[in-house]
Formats: sequence, C-alpha cells, structure tokens
Amino acid sequence: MIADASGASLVDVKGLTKRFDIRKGAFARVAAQVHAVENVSFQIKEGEVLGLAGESGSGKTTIGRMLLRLIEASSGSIRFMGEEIAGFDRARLLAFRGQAQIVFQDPFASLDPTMTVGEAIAEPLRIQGMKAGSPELRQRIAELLEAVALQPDFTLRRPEELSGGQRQRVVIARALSVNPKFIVADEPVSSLDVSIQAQIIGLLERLQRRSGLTMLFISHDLAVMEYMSDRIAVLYLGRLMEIGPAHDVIAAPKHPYTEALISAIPDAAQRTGRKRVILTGEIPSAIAPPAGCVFHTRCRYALAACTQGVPELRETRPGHYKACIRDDLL
Amino acid sequence: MNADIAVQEKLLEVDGLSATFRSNSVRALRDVSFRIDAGEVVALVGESGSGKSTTGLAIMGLLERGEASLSGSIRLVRKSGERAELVGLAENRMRSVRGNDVAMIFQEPMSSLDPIYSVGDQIAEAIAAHQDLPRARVEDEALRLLTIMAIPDPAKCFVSYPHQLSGGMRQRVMIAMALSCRPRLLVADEPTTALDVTIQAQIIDQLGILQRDAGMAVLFVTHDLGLAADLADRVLVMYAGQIVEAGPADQVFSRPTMPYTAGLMRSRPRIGAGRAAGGQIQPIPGGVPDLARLPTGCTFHPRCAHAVTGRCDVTLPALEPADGGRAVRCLRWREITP
Repeated sequence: MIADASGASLVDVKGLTKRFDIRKGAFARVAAQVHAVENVSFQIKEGEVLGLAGESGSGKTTIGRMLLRLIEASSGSIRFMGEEIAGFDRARLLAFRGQAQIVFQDPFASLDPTMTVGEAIAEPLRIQGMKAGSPELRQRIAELLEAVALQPDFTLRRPEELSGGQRQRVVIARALSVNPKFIVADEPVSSLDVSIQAQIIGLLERLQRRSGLTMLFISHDLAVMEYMSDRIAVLYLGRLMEIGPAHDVIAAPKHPYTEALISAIPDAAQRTGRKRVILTGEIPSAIAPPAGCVFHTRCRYALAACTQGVPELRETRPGHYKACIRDDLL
Repeated sequence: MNADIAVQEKLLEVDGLSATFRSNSVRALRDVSFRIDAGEVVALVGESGSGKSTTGLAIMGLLERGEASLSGSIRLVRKSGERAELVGLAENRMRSVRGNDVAMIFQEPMSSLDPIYSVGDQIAEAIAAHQDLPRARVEDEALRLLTIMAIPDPAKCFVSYPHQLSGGMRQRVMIAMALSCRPRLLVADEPTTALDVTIQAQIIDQLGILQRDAGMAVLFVTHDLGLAADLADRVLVMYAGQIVEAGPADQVFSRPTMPYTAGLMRSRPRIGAGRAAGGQIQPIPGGVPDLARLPTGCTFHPRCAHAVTGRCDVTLPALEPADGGRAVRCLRWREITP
C-alpha cells in the first residue's frame, strides 16, 4: 500500500486522475486534455492534518474538490469511511455533505452578500434539515460564533460590514456548523494580512485539536503548512512527488522539486543553512506534460533515464515516500 | 552613470509627507520621513492600509491628480544633478522625472501592459520616449533589455502579445520596460506577490543582479517580511499611515524594538520551525484600524501588550532614534527592549 499512515484512514485515495477536456469548433470536439491530476494515491487517517503543497497547476485545488465530490474524478477511487464516494446516491450524498465541508481561500467571494452572518452559518444546518428560526438553530449559531471568537451580535451583520479576518471566521463557523468529520481547507489564510493570518491559523489549530477534526490543508505557503500539518504531500503538475511526516519533508526533503520549493522561500536559506537552488524555466503546460518524470525539464539532477518511465512512489524512510529514481542524492 | 557617485550619496529624501484622500478625507499618510541613498535597497513593509503603496505612488507623482492632497516634501536628486521637489511638481515636469529618474513596477503586470499591442511595440515605445535613438537601435535596445531579464527567447517574446505570456514572463517584460529609462530609483510594489514561489525566486535573483550592476536604488514595497529580510539593506515598517520602525534590515528583524514589528515577527510561521519542532506562533490581537477612525495616542496601542493607559492612549509618539542606527515610534521602547 502506498503512503500508508498507521491507524484507521478516514479518506483513502487510490490512482486518482482528473483530465479536463478542451473542446474546439462548432461540434465541440475534444481538441486536447488538461492532465490536472494523474494517478495520485494517499490516505488521511482520522484526526490527521495532511498538507497538500504545490504551485499553480499542481492539481491541489482539483484534488480537494474531488474529495468532496464537488467535481467528479475521471478515474481512480476515493473512499470516505470505507465507502466509495462516486457510488453515493442523493440521500447518501446529502449525508456526506454533513460529514465533509470546505473552507475556501477568499472570504469575500464565499459569503453571499445578501445573507446575514447568522443566515450564512445556518445554511448547511437548514440543508441538513434543521428548522429555520428554531431555538436549537439559534442556540447552535451562538455556540459557533463563540467557537470562532466573534461577538453574539455578529449574527445580524452582513459580510460588507466585516473585515477579511472576520469573514474567514464566519466561513469557518459555517463549515463547522454541521459537526463535520472532515474539512478541506483550501488556502484558508492566503488572502489575509500577516497578523490576522496568525489569528486564523491559531483558531483552526484549536478547533482541529479540540474536536479531532480530520483535515486536508491546501496551501502554497510551506511555512504555514508545516505549522498546521502532521504530514505533507508535495504535488507538481498533477503528480505526487513526495509525501511524509511534515518535519521530515521540510527538514530533509527527498525529492529535488521539494528541495527547490523549500529553498525558494525567501528566508529559507538563512533558516535551514542550505544552499539556495533556483529552478530554471517555467512550469510546463498540463496539456502536454513532459514524458517520464514531469519534473525532469527543470531538475538539476535529471539523467537520460528520467525522460523514460514515470517514477513510482518509493519509501525512503519509514512513512516517507518519493517519486524520484535517483537514490544517490538528498 | 555619474563618475562622482560617492558612498551614501543621498538620492531621495521624504520629509513630513502626509496624504489625505479627497473623497473621504481619510489621512492615508501621516508625517512620513525617510531617505534612500544611491544604490540602496530599502524595503517598505506593512499590512493592508498601512500606507506602503500610497507612499510609492506619492513618490511617482501618481497620487495627486485630484485624488489626494499631499503636504510635506519629496526631494529627488535627478541624473542632471538638479534637486527636484516632487510634491506639487507640474505634471509635464513630473512626466520627465518618471521617464528619466524613477520607474515603478506593480503586482499585476497585466494591468500595466496594453493587451492590443505586442510586447516589442510597448518596450520600443517606452525606449523611444526616454532615449533619443534611431528606430533600428530602439529594437536592438528592446531585445537587449529582454535578454538581461533572462527571457529565454527574446525575439519570440518581442512579437508576442501580453496574454500569450505567463505571469512570470509578463513581470519580466514590465521590469524590462521600467529599466528602459535607466532609472536611479525603482519603486517595486509587490512585484512578485502574484507569482509562484519558484518563479518569484528567479525574478528576485534577476532583479538583484540588475540592481547591483546598474547601482540602482530600489524601494521594495511588500507585505512579506521574509522577502524584505532577504533583499533589503534597510527596512521601514509602516502601520496605519506612519513609519513605526526603521533601520538596518538585520537589526530590525533580529531585534525588533517597536512592539508592532515584534508582534509581526512572532505571528509568522517560520520554515523549519513547525509544530513538530516546537514552533509557536503568537498572533497580534484585534485588527488593523480604520483610517477614518484612528485610535487616539499611539495608533497601535489598542493591540499592544505593553500599552499603558494614560500614556499610550493620549500621547502620539515621535519617531525617535534608538540603538543600532534605528528609529522607533514608541513611548516605551527603552523600558520594554530586553
């Protein structure tokens, strides 16, 4: 089994692939395909935070959406508590929405401007069948506002009256309203100022620990990710490059891409004492990804063999896997 | 380039600069003073509403057209040796300053490039506006600029349109255009914020090489403390329209004196210092103040753990000299510095 985590896994992903069709012409024939996610496998055990790192086009957001069945996978398997989510009927899907929720990056776009804070938080609960205006609902909204450290009077305010940090607290309260087991947090602090970012990270951390929430934490910021995650998975052009315990992946990356990604963080050279690696070239197009290892076009260690087969994920240390054929470095 | 450029030659001096937006009477800048020497890299850091971008725009003379009223002074030593006062300078003269002495790059290059002209046309136009070159030489100069920005296929880039380029390439083109006038000062407002981190590393590296080769001064406006620490000689920290701490970058970041700077440093997760390594982050409570309703006294006092009622909420601290070549705007810095 690949990239196993000890303990029961809540989410089990195998061979996950997503290709988007690009259609052209009057008959909308498929002219090309975007290889957004290719053959990705991992597990998230109960109560664990898995960080999903990568740059633009890495497929991290697409994976998050597929795990919640907000978009359908092209192939592969996603099991949630042992059940294949692709097989859910309407009733089971509704119940799943009560078990798995999402927090998006932009709190300005993810709140309906016409709804009050109370209505926004109540929305998932009403979908799950709680009566609007009921005392239980009001009680639950009050509890949730307290959990995200907002005053009770926020329930009547509208998004336009709130700061970015306050909006993100509302978005988190809304996601938590149904007591989910699993949350996909997609760049939840990226649009916030540094001092506010720390408040939201601290809030997510407390809530996650208190209720043993399982989380997929998507970010382009490795420092934030290292802080939040138990394990980190690194994606490049839709493929998993490396996965392992958060501290190991950051302190001793095994894949050349992870090495470069960490060293590109502005003050990383000073912090880690490692030499700065500057990658040449740009991220290739996901419409025509390079053959062999997708990273070989930018890799300073690439050999002729790297252009041939797609490297398998292999365990290099207990629980730490890399998809790179070279064992003579890093 | 001038042969008689001495070390520490003063290039830009901002003195008591204040800006008030006409539409809502909000004072975006209050009593901002700093200087930039020739060839120096100064980072201007702060959160939203701190006034960091407004400061950059004020230097460029891009604020004044009816939008905001400025007081105070911005003095620039021009290539000609003339000392120009930029506050209140007539637009036609300001245009010549922008074309010859100072240039600016922004976060989103797409909004600064015209989508209907090729990259080559736009760079050529910028060069022709600033340098008196024959038509054939203009194209050579454009290709040279694209080459020094490490654009892989300059000839292909020259005939491309902005939408055909990646975000990283567009930013390289923007920088090439900005450098076409061989400015003595480049104002860079979050130029790599929208880019992926590996592309950011390439562009910062390239910009550093150009800056050193040309002896150009850079005012780097950013929210990213790590980036500021990495590239700046000196750093200016802004909060709610004021400079609250200034000094050599290594000093300010290793031993911050103003409680706001110290708070910012503590609220950032650091790479290699995650939870598993026992790392902790400590947020600053509350939010950035509304500029239309600023707190009394020190604008940071409602969020400050060191604030003392009767002092910090009534007295506006001055930016006063502290040790290590720094300046700090805090009434209590002597008492609270360890």
